[in-house]
Amino acid sequence: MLPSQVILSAIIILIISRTLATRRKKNLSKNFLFLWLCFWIGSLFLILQTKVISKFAEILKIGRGVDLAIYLSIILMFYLIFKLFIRINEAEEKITKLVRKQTIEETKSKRV
Amino acid sequence: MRDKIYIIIPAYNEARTICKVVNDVEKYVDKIIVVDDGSNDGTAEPVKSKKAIVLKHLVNLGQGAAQETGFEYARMNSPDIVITYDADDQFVASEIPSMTKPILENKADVVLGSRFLGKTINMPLSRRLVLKLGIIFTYFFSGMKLTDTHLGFRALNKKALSLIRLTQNGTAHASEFIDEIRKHKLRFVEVPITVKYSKYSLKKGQKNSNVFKILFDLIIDIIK
Repeated sequence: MLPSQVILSAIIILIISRTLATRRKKNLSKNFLFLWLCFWIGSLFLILQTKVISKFAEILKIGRGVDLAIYLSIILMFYLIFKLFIRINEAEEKITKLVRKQTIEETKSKRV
Repeated sequence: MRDKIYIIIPAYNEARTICKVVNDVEKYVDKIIVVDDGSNDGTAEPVKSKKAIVLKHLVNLGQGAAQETGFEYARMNSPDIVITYDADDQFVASEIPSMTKPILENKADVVLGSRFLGKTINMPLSRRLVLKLGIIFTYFFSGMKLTDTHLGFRALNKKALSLIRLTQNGTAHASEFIDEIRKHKLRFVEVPITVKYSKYSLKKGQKNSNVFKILFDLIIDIIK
């Protein structure tokens, strides 16, 4: 095993163990916990079985396995950022509706 | 019976000018709706006109949100005409009748003020260029050929008020307003008006760099 594989695996095992240890305190939903663990376990598998990702890279004619991993990570990050923007937007809409409702009701009650 | 005219003035930290603006518009309208968008300079306090009502947002949401709050309040009271007006004393109140005239003559559902058909005083060149870009952008994306697309001086009749809904909280609401006109096939005209630029209004108003934020907000709206 390469030193990089050891270091990365150790970091991922730490992340997984911290997630499991603090899951109750942080009130994580089952769905999020499941996806989060799947992601890190999957990453651990690919780090330890580099032949798998290298095979995919070869099929896609990308070059090295690590290049494929980087491209996929960038795509995933942009997708997550986009989803975050949508969620922030939705939260903003809800806040606006609440503030507007409260503003108008407060005005109506003052005039009564 | 005379038409009932309301005016909506969204305001954020405009304690310096709000009183003058309310006093100026008072004689032209029946009701003044000042929407205090979470100001922290006591904007709402000096407003004393008998015709004025102040709606106060608990937090700052943006000019678009403040305008829509004003619209929603107005809808509950069924005015015949609603005017939107800025709180920074850039507009000339005596031009209100020219804004309402096309609606009173049933020639339009929406009247849009245009500084480029009218007059500008002390307008920086950079602002002129950015606004001209906005006109091109609006034409490109909505097909609406206008001479001024980002002016807060507008008039709506009952039909337009009932149909137009602003969901953009920030300055992109101006582009959204144009889109709503097109979406609901409302009749519109542009009317020449005067816009006065002062050091205060330029400092308080939109920055030229806001154009990127407006573009971004509109793109997010399209994608979602």
